Amino acid sequence: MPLIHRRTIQGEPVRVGEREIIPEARVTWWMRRRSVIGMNSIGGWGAGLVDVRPTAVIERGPGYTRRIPIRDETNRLLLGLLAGAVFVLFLAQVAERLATPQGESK
Amino acid sequence: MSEEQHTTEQEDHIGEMFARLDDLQANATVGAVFGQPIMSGDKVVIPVASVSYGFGLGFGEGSDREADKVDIGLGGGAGGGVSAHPLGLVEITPEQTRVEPIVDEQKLALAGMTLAAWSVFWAARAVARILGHGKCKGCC
Repeated sequence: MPLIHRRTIQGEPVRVGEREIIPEARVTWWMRRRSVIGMNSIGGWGAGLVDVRPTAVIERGPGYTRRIPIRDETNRLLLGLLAGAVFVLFLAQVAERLATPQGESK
Repeated sequence: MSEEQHTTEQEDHIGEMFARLDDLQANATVGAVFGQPIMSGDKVVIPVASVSYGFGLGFGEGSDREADKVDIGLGGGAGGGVSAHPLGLVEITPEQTRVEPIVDEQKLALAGMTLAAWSVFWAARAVARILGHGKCKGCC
């Protein structure tokens, strides 16, 4: 049984003129539960995380279907900054190595 | 109430609680992340967000039957949290459909400042090591 489950769901279409817009989202969830039944005791616990994220809107018009993705721009920019941080670290290390004569570590 | 009946009842309660946990993901619909369409002239706008929630519960009941009188203790607790972030707006006009993203400027500003501090630290460290080469004896 997988630890993380995922499914894609679609909502009711929104009709605008001759077009239909169908919202689409992805549900990701993790769930754990356990119960213990003993002679003199009974107990249990359960925990779960659910993430619902819109993935796209599907546009259906006369004779065509188009998928317009929905992206998390904030996350993309944050990942870009993280890549920048790694690049700065790499650059600093390279500069240090190039400036240090061979055979000396510090 | 007999002991057997009591245990069966408790098992039913556990089963019910676990079934409710399952319902939480089963009830996650598109309506949780796509808002109601807003009409504005000939334009329709649908707000879009991402939603996450977490929860946990625990419970227990026990008895000490070896003592002269039966001591029964029981307890339980539950908690949860929800987080929602706007992602954008779906704009539907008679001509086209497009997604206008929403950027969390505060989060980006904080991350940008952290990156700036990180860069200054590593640049200063590299310069100090390069210029101080031969003088530093493993102090930095």
